[in-house]
Amino acid sequence: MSAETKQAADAMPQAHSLEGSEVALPARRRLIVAGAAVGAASLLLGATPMGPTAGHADLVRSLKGLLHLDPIVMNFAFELEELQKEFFNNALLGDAYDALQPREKNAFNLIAREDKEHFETIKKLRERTGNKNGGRFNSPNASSGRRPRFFNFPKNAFKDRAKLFSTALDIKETSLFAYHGAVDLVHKDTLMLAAAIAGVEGRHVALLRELNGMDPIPSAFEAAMGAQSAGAHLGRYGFRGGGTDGVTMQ
Amino acid sequence: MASQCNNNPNHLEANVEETNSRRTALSQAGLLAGGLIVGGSLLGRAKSAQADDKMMNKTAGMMAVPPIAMATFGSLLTPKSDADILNFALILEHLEADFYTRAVQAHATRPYLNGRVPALAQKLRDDENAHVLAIQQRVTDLGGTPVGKPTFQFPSEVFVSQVAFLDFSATLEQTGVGAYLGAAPMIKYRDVLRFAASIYGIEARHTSMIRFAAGRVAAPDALEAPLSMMDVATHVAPLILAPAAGMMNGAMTTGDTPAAM
Repeated sequence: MSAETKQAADAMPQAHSLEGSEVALPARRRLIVAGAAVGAASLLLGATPMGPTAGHADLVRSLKGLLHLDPIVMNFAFELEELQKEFFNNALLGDAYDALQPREKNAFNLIAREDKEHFETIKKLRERTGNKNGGRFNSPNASSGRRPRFFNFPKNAFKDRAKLFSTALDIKETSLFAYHGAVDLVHKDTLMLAAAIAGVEGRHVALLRELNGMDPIPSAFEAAMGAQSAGAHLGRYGFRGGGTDGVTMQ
Repeated sequence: MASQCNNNPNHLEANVEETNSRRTALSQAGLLAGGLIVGGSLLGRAKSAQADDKMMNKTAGMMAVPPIAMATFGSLLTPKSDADILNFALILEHLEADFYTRAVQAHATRPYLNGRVPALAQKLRDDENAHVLAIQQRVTDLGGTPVGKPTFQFPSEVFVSQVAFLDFSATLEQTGVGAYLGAAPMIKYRDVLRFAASIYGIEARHTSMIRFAAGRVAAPDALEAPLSMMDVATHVAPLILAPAAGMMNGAMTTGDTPAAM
């Protein structure tokens, strides 16, 4: 791991530390500023009389290389998957689940299992790359039986069918859009993993929307959301990997 | 892919031509490989074993692609620009759009789709047509020339049987998902990457809904699987009756040149 990578990884939000969400700010800022820098460079170069060239693409790539956002984005994704994993795990235990139709139960079981796989896959990647700082899972308390409750879900989320679906879709869609918002901030291996997960997240969203009587594919193009907006939106569930400003779609 | 309906009246002739083309391609590849070895030793250039393996794999992969796919995709199989990659995707989008258009027409003539499937088929047709238009525009913005639409052929049963339609659609959409994912790391421009990802995401949703409508698991794996361009070309080859006009030699190189982007 390069010095820059280690520095970036070290700056990630610490898991449920005593300092609380303020710890996340440096990493958040780094992610937002870095994303903005890449975007600004791209726009600046695109605005030149010469327009975009192969050199332009190379320069933006080099800038991304210097900033090395992969560990930061993967930490963000790690917490996204942990949030989803916890939500769908809890969903399987709630009263609302018991009242679901068989095919709805199948869908929730499928999503719970695959979100767990996403979480474990990213966890292994982080361990392999030495990026163990950051995500909440690696907090001093995380592996103990006294592991604190990180996420907060609405009161009736697991008791009422409508609330269960609306919360599930809110978390799922925001996570999906966040993946699409980060797709151009990462490099080959991270891109392949994030995109492979994002595709399945899209399948989950379509399935939930279909079961909830909504248009499963409301647009011909998938939407994207910046990390800051996605993080701020998911903050209501105790998510800390993102920013704190208002929610705006990109 | 599902079994094919032979709509090609020149099927036998086409096979003979394909065999001859294959022989020519093989001998050319052999000459090329021989030339590389001799040239390499003469020049005394020390290439790494890894680089040699890569080249051998690439050559072997190209030889495995059916001639009709080579004639259709041509140089797009070894893309030199983002426009090339998008043109490769454009052929797949043409394929999907053509398939759903024909399915919707067949259903209008003689209804064979039930429940919500007809609406889904229309939705997919509209989405794929939107993808075609968007990619054509993006290729033009990149200074390239959008490839034309090849002539496709489909198994006849997919236009009379809902089960066959759903099975075939699921395979087609899955191939599209794999193609976009496999091509993602090759894309240079971040705008193009985001654009391709926005289509990829919808292809994944399509796959989910088609599978769900067929009573299958919507997302059978936790991770999408990438496909190489060679694999994709090989998968769709049986569905191509003829390349687009002007593509008979399989040569279509487009570059990312300065343009309004």
